[in-house]
Amino acid sequence: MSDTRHRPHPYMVIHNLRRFLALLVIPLVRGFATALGGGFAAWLAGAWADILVLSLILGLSTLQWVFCFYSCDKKGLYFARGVLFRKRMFIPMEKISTLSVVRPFYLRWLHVVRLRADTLAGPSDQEDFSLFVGQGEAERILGVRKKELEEGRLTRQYRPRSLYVAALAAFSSSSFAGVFFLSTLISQTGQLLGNEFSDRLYGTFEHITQLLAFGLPPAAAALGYLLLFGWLIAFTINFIRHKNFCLRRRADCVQVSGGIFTNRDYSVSVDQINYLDIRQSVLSFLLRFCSVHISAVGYAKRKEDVSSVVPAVRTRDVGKTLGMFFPEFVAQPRQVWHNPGALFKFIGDPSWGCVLIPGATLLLRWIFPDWGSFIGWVGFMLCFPAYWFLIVRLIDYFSAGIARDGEHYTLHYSEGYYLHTVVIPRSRIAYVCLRQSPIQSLDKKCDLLIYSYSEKKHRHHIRNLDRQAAIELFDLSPEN
Amino acid sequence: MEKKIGRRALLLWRVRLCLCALPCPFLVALFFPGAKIWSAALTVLWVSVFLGLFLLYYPIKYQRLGYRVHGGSLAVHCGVFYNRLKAIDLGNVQHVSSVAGPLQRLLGLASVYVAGAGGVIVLPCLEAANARALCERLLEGERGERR
Repeated sequence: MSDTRHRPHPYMVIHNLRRFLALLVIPLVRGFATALGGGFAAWLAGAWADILVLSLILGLSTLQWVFCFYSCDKKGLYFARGVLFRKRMFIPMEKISTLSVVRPFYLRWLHVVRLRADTLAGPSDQEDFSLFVGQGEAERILGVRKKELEEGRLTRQYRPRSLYVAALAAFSSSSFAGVFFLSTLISQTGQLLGNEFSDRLYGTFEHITQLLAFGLPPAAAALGYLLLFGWLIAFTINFIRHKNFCLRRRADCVQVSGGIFTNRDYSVSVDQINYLDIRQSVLSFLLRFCSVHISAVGYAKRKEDVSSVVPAVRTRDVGKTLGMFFPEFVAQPRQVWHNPGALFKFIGDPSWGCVLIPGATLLLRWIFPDWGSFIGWVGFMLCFPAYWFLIVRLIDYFSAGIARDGEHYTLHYSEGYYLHTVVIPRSRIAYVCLRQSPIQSLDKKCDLLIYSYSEKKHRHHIRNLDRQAAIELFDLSPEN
Repeated sequence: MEKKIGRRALLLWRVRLCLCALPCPFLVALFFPGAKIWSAALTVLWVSVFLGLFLLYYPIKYQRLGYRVHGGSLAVHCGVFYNRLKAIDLGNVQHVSSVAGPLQRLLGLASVYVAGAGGVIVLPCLEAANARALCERLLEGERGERR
């Protein structure tokens, strides 16, 4: 079966416009020049040139669309574009790691969706293939892939409760991401509606902060409320992104969908999954919850993508859930782990923050007594992440290690503020590195660095294992 | 059996170091013509760095660097301050390249870059014939694994 050539949806004309927006410089420069010299009449007399440039932009964009074709059959995706410089591309179906369909809310009335395909090759920050097509056409292409991967048989389906989606949003939300989003939003709004509007927003924020300071220094309260607002915004964004989450497992393919305003559908080939990651924060560890993520090229590549495959599940149920959806990835309890004396290796990094921040706070309060309450509050706030990090590393100390089950490895370790349990097939390990510091060489220990298959370098770091045991685990012994 | 790199690699690193160190006295004289303390301090600094690299760092690097292709994987032993053992399954090798600069060509050396789908392992300054043989061996192994 071979497919005929199709043209993408005409919305591509509007999407292509951004490539030629630089040409707008011409009417802009002309406008400035005539404003300085001849005034409105002179500008109007030359308006034909502006219309010509706008027509050129529209024409070039339309030409791009006219010369853009694609076809999709069971062999793969074929794509051609370009007027003078023709680009032809063919992606074999079996090489596609993730095929995703994104339905932005502003395009829903047009029934237009964005189709994305990703392989192990190509840039690490964007998809290898992206087109705007009609909704029906996207479903047809997804159907071709489904047929190729399996017989269309639905084996399992999982729709988490809203509470679990909220739990994922809560655990994965960061104040700083929210603050960044908020400040960008306000400054962009200011650019559009005038600086007075953004100044008024900042003024209202200052006023509310003063009202709700409750005896705290206003600047310190502002900082605290800013972080809280940031977290709430990040939580809302994450919740909207993951609401209506659905995971379906078919024979050789996993399908994930979710989102309220922008719906996203992902189809991931199981043999293209690099590893499965069971993730916990300190809070979810204490509440005995975890979320499950997968690493596959093209999945959760952009920051606005759905990032997990199981938003939240009780720790005791994780084995059962994964057994139903990912029987190929079975997590094992640790078989090799660090020696008890490795405690400092774990708590060394966070200890610096835990000691230096209170020390610096006391010192600064002594130097600047007038600013004492503000410095005290900021120091107190800064201590939080440092002690939080220390708690993560302490939990890691009691849980880190590695296990091997045939051709699969289970890695227990922490990275940043998260605890990870990663199940990775040997075939998806790009390479391993046993790193031994001069101190570690005295007691024959080493850090194990595992680089997994990825478009960009991704490292899993397990601390202070017995070197000989690690060598045997990866069959690196010269006798083998 | 672990293979060591040729002694010419050490010579190459030292020659390269000397070439890099050559402009140092001129730069010190140029920028600090009258300041005796500064020029003396900087001279002591660059000479000690030079001697440290020449007499300690490169000999240790040379001593520690070794590789072995065995049991379907390439293992590289390296590191000066940290002792590292890097290993890649031949089936996971995406591509192999051999690179030789003018100095390396002069001394009959080449570096081998083994690219996996998530990182690169570099074997610097192998003898050109060994580099070619290693590339062939790795590609053969990779094709074998694919089959």
